[in-house]
Amino acid sequence: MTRFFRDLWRICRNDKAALFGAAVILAYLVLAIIGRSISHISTGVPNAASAYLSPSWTHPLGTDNLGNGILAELVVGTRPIMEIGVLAALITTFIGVVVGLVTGYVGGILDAAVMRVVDVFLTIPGLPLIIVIVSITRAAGPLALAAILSITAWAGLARAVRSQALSLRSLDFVESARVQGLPLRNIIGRQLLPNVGPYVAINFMLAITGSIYAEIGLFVLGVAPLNGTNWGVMINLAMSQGALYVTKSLISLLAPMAAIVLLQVAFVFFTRALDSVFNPRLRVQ
Amino acid sequence: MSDAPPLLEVRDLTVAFGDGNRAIRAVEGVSLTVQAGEIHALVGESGCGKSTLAYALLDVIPPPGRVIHGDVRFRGRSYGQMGKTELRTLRAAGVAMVFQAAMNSFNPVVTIGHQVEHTLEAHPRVFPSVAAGRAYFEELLQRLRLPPERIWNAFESQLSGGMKQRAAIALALLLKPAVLVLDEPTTALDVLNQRLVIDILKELHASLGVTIVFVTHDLAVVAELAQSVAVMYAGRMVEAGRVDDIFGRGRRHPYVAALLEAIPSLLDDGLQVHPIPGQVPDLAHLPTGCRFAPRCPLARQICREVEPIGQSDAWGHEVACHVVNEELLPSGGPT
Amino acid sequence: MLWYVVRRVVTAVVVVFIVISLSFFLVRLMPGNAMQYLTDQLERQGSYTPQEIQQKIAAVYGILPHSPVWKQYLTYVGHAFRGNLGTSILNPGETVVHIVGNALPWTIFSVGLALLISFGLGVGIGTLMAVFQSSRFAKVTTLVVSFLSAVPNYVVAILLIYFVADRAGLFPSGGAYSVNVTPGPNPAFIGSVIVHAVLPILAYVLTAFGAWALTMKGAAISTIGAEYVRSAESRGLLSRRIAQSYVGRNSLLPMVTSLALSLGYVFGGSVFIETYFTYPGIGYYLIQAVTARDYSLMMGCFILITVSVVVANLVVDLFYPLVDPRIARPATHRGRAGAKTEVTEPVPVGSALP
Repeated sequence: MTRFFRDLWRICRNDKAALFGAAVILAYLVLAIIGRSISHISTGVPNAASAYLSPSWTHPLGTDNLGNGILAELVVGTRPIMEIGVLAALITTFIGVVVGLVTGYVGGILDAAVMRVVDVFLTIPGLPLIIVIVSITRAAGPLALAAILSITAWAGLARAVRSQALSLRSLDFVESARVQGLPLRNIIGRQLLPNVGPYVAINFMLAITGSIYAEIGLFVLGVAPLNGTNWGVMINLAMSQGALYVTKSLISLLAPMAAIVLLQVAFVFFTRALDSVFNPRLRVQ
Repeated sequence: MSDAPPLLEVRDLTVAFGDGNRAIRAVEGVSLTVQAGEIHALVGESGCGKSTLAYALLDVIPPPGRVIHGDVRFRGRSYGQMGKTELRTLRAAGVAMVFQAAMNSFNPVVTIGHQVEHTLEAHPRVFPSVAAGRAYFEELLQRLRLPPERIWNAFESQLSGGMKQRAAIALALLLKPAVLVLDEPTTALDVLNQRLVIDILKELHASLGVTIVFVTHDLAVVAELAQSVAVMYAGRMVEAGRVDDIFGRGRRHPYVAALLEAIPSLLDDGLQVHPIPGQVPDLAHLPTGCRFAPRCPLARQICREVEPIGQSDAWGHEVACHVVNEELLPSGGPT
Repeated sequence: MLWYVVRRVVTAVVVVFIVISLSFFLVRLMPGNAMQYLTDQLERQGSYTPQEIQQKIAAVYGILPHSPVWKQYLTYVGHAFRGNLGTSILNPGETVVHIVGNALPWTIFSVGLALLISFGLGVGIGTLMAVFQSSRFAKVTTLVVSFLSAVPNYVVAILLIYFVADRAGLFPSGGAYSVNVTPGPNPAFIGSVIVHAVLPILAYVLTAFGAWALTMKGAAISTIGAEYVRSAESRGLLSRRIAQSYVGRNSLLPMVTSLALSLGYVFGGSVFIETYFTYPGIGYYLIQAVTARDYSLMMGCFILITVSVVVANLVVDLFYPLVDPRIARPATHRGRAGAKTEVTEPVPVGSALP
């Protein structure tokens, strides 16, 4: 465990991009947790006098049409986005890993049957399905949204984890565990899981980026209900108010987009570093 | 000794991997001569540089390795001075190689037959037509006890390890090379296949007259198959000569002596194992002086300071050891 | 080989069937029942008799609301397979199939072209990155490409509209072709179509080609260092031959696999791009339907998107044995445990989620 962190630190030190990524992710996480308490949004009556102000000390990014500070909104909006994103990634990863490991290890009819199901889930295009389901069920809560977001995503991970389980299955230490009669739970949890751990960790991060992309997309298009403040909603409102054509309000459009891009780029850079830690082969440039 | 240059000559060759002063010299200052028609073995442990030396024989050292000193000459022509086309034509037609285990020697998505055709297309002057080339290939397959049609249309994933190895040998012999280099031809095989390959190599040597150089760490195969042998340790060549001389005569490099000692004898009561103490040095952190000194029972002060140079006796048997070579001076003297 | 084809076709049909069933389930049985919603709406309008309302529902959804559920299901599926997906609420009088049928070609055109361009760019740049591995070019490109792949395509779309279309006025910001042009095989129309497609395709390509390039780079690096390539060099094979049949073919394997896996994502992305560029493709109509609560059109779009993806997948799957002949003839000896390629597990190009 400590070796992992030491390797990670060494990689981060050498790879500036990875360091940047880690720092940004950490910052966003912190904001997500404490954001509400340091930023204040009023949802009251729109205050025409303070709408669309230019950046100033009180509002470093200016204000939106309701007079709320844009930076404040970004900060407050961090939490719902990350909440849903991480939740969806957790669900995706959990289901994908469990299905993958169990079918890969157990094999047989269970494997064949489940793989057919996985094939079907892999073929159905995910985003259209999510859009349709969210629109019909009017899902609004974070858990519901997270669950829907992961509806097809787990399949790809399951497939990949399964092939890893297949190759691990024939290794000696797994064989010996089986021969000793260890329960399935133990074999999956103690023998197989640690070996696919790195792969799963990286995919977990990628799943977060994917679900953030999808959930913000839902808000941006107005498919998901527009309650609360989050970056997607901000973009949606900005676009519908013609921010593209009015210079004053442009920043209310550009700011949330920048927030999104910053986070996604940070994740990508950071996962590349993680990948190097787990795949030393990739380090040799 | 004829006037013609030896078939293959390695002159003071040094091959390095990596850049600058952290470069690792997998092969250092090695000189070797391979005469036409002989079977020559390169022996050593893993990492001693024997495979790299073998690759150098046909100039296919994998990057980032490169020759930084000395050269290799085929019939007197140095590889360093050959143009790209001449080098390309030389490979497989002059010197051919069979890689270790041939597990991944074949393109997985192309049939064996097509790969043979690719080889023929690259060397159009060897055979008058593709059909002639194919016919010869199938004849070679039969010599190697493989079914010709099945092999021609097969993908490498459809062949067993032993079959792939023999098919690779056939492909290597296709253009009738003067020298066949094999990297660990018996190592990855089961005992039956090992026997088969050894017998086949003997047969091919006898019937085709091809010069064979093979790399191995198995002294038993050396004793059975080879006529000359060169022993490598940590990038240096420590002993070279006729197999009879090395196995038979008393003058031996301590490493070779220890290797022979380490083979348990069937005739002993109980199993007595005499491993060589210590470990092969890390090529990035070589000891000063003789590289074997830390593990050598005969090591003296001079051994830890100065690297020994190979010296031959009257029979052409070369050993690089201060202690062993002592007896060569002043009375014997190097040849 | 035959078995392989049969399996693929069967899976395809099953998926389509499931999607149609899913559509029935969602429309009819979910809470917030779409049909109930429409019924209530029509009732509230007050100008229809109950029978007329039933007929309207039947026309829109192709289901008779009061017959038993299983019968409704069969009717629905039967209609779907015969090409009847109901009528649109948004555009009364037009059948869903008609709207969707007109929209699909636009999506296939733009998405297909974008995919080809991204793939081609990815192969080219990825190969260069592999060949010049430790160069500055490779490092910079890797960084740039990673950055681009992280930007969501809707962000790129909005930025393109703002900077290129509105500010610089270089390209039109909406529509599939100019209103001044009559559709038909005439040069003005074709020119207009192309001009209007540039930005949408650009939006897609910018965010997608990066992942292709990185996949290709990984595949090429693995292949270039592979032993069969060195073995081929040791036999003095022509460089052109090695590049084509040894490095090229083996590097393309994971790329083609990724292609199959990314078809679904590509249609998903079209949803955003077509909405922002008001490009009348199937993604555009999906969102229009969602906003207007036009459930029959929405399901029709969804079904057709899925069918397109399924068919495209099938085409790639059938094409795959040409690239990797081992699929048709399974390995009889376990060299690599039946793995399709020697290279790392192919990653779907796109994000981990849709």
